[in-house]
Amino acid sequence: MMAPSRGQRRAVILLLLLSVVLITLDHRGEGFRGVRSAAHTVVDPAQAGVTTLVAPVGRFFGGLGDLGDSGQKIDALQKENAELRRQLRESELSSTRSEELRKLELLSGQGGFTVLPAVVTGLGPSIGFEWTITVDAGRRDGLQPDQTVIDSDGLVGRVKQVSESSAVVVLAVDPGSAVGVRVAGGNALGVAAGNGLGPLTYTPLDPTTRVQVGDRLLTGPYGGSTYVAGLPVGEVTNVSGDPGAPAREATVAPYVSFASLDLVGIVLAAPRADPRDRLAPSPPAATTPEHTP
Amino acid sequence: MRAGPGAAAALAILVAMVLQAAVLSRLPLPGGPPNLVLVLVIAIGLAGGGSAGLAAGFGAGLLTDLLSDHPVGVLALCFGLAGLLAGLLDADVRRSVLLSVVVVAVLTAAVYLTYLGVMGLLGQPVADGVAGVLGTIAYDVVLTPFVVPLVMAVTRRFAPARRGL
Repeated sequence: MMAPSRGQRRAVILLLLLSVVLITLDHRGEGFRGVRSAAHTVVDPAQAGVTTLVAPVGRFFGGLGDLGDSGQKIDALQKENAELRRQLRESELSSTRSEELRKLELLSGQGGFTVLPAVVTGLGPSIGFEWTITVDAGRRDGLQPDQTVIDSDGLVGRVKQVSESSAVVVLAVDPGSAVGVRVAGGNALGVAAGNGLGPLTYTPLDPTTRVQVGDRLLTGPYGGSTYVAGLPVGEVTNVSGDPGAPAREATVAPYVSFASLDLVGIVLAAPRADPRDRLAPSPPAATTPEHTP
Repeated sequence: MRAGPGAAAALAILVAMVLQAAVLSRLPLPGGPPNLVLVLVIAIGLAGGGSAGLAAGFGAGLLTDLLSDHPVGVLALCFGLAGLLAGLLDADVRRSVLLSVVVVAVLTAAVYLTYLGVMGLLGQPVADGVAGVLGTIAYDVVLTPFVVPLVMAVTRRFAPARRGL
C-alpha cells in the first residue's frame, strides 16, 4: 500500500466534505430535483436505445451461433433460417405486447380511468436496494409525480421523478413504499408495505380485523392513499398467529410480477367514483372452504 | 489525468451506466445484480493510480446518485473511496489479474457496507440488503477478468512511456 501523496490527501478531504454537504442538502429538501431531471434527460434516451436493441433477447444470443462457420451454402441457409426465426420471435414479442396492451386497456376501461401505456426501459441504476424502474414516457406525455402506475395485473407503483421524455417509478415492493389497501368485499382498511424481493406485508389498521388466506387486497379509497382507488394489489398467502384469531400481520403475494415488468400504464385521470370491487380478480377456483366471521 | 484518458474514462463510465440500467440490472440472476460501474471504477484506480480512481469514482458515483432515489452524494463518497484505495495499492498487486479479483471482492463488500451504513444513519429503509450483496460480489468477481485487463490496455496506450504510473 502506498501512502497517499499530499495532493491526494487534500482530494480525499475535499471528497468527504463535498459528499457530506451533498448528502445533507439532499436529505433536507428537494434541492436536486432539477439536476436529477437533467441527468435523466441525458441518460435515459441512450438507455431506451439499448433496451430496444436487446429486447428480443433470443435474437441477441441466437445470432452468435452463426460465427465461425464456413461454406457458402450452409452460411446462406443458416442466415435464412436465422432471419425466419428472428421474424417469428419478433412477431411473438409484438403479439405479447399487444396482448398486454389489450389487457391493460380492459382493466382501465373497467375502472373508468385514462391510462397512458409506457415501456419499461431500465431498472433503477441504484446498487440494488431500491426498487425503481424507468419508463419511456415523461413530462411531454403529461406525466406528473405521484401518479399511479399499473400493469394489466394491478398496481405497480407510483411516479417519483419526471423528466422530459422519461420517468422513474417507485415500485410497490420498494422497502420504503406503503400502500393504503382495502380488503375486497369489505371495508377493512390497512397498509401493505414493501419488502424488496419478498412478499408484501399487510397490517390492518384495526388490530381486531380478521385476516384470512385468500383475502384480496385493493388500493384503498382516496384520502388515505396517493394511489388511485380500487386497483388490485395482491392476495393474502399467510397470516401470522392462530387461524381465526385476530392477526397483526399477513404476507401478501402481489398480483403483478415485478421481476418481469415490460408494459405498464400510467393513470393520467382517475374516475370520480371509487370503482370498489369491480377490478378485483376473481378468487382462485380451488380455495379451501373457510368460515367467514 | 490528462484530457485523453479523462475523456475515455468518462465515456467508459457512461457506457457502463447505460448497460447497467438497461441490461445487467434486468438479468434474472439470483441475489443482487452485478455492479459494472463499480468494477470499472476499481479498474481505473488499479490502472491509473489513486487520483484517477478517486476522480472516476466520485464522478460515476455522483451520476448514479442523480439517477437513483437515495440522497445525492452517498455513492459519490463510496465509489470515490473505492477508486482511491484501489489506486493506492502497490504496483505489483495492481498489475496482477488474480489479485485484482480479490481487490474487487473486498472493495465491493466495503462499498456496499459503507452504503448501508450511511443509509442507516440517514434513516433510509434498506431491506434485504445484505442478502443481495453476496450475489453482487460474486458477479463483480466474474466481470473483473474482462474489465481490468481492458482498462489496463487502454491506459497503457495513453501512456506508453511511463510504467506503473
